[in-house]
Amino acid sequence: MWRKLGILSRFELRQTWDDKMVLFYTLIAPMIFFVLTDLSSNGHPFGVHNLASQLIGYWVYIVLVGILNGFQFALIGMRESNFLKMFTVIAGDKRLIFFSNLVVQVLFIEIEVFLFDLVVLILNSASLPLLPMMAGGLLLNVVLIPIIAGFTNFLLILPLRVNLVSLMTTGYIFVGMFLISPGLGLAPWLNDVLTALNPCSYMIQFYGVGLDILGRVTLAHVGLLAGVAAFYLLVGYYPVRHMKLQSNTSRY
Amino acid sequence: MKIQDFSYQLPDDRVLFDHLTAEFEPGKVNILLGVNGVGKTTLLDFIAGVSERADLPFDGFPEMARIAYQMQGIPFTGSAKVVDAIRMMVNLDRPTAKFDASRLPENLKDIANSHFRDLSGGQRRLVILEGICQLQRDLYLFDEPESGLDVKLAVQMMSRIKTLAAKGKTVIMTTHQFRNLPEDNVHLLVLAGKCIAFTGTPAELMAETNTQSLEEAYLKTDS
Repeated sequence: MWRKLGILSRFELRQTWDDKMVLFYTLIAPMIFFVLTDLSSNGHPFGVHNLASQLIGYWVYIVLVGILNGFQFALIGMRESNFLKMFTVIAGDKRLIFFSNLVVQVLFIEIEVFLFDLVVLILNSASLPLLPMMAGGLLLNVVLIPIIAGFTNFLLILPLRVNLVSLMTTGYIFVGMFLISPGLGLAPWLNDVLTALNPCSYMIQFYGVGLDILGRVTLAHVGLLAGVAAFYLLVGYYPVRHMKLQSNTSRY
Repeated sequence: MKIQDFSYQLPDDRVLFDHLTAEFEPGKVNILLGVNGVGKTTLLDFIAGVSERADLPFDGFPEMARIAYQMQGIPFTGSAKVVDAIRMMVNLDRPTAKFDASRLPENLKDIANSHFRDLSGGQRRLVILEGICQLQRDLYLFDEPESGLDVKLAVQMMSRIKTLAAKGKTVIMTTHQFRNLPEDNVHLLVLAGKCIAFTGTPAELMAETNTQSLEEAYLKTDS
């Protein structure tokens, strides 16, 4: 089982590495955005003065887009190309294909976040004190990425074609990111509700508690995050078990 | 390996199989013939366990881990290298097995380090076929393996499939080509009218339909 997972992961890693275009959306685009907004707002984009808060916003984007583009779309693409079907028969278990992809995406997203942090450190000397926070963020991501995969696994069982899923996820990213913009000034109870529904809100809270930058970490807060994580890890496993192996775009 | 009294409806309510019964002969090339859309691939999916198969209609088939299944389409992105793709398939089957380009058949050695994007459709299909044949399984399923191959490659492909049966493995394949079909060690099944309309050897099919060629015999059976 573990050996097969290693074999599939190595193969997936090579495939993902060769498809470097995905880096444009998950890494290059936020880097360009960071540079432009930093220059045009004197370092305070969207009125956010705290560099740590800005940084978390970018991490949220990189993780969510990485999971959607690199992971969920990759699996849907594998289903449509018959890779999932053929390699489930060869490997004997479709969960191996799922988990090997997840392992590769955790690694890729970690590298992307690391490179992004590096660029921030180079471009903004005021970010040097954030070095421990950056290291903490990388550690938290190991737990956070599988939880966010759980949030978005429902895409795997939707009987939709790739183009429609692509449109849906673009909207999903837009709404998700919009709901965490500080300008909205949402009431705390609404933020708690969104923590359970919006992966971006969940990530903000998770980083906030994990890195102790919210300044008001309570047991209830930790309980909410743990409960939501447990729920999505359990619910997210259902699509893994029940995802169709056959293509949605053709009978075969 | 038997399928007994199997009925199945497509999601759009069309009946694909109606009390279908079929028996596949072990150690032979079992060839499933039928027109487009008759359900050959769907039946292979059930045999492979890709579609959930119940024990009752599907009797004596090995579990998924003992089956190799070559499907229509090429399941690799262009960036995969030939030797890496086959090595991965072999290692999923036998994790400690060593595999390198020297173990490839002569017709694939020249392209061992080529990427899939640089291969023709026929070469890609041949690579997948080789990967499937390298697996050590009890049952091999091939879905139109000769599709898109030129005459020379199709002959090589059929020869490779025959070696599996010669080793005592059971092969089930679908095809629309009659020219390259092996004459011995073959068991034909004609899928028509939502069930198996004929089973037997090519000679028996021709005798039953009073025809001189397999193609003619098949057309008569299907009509």
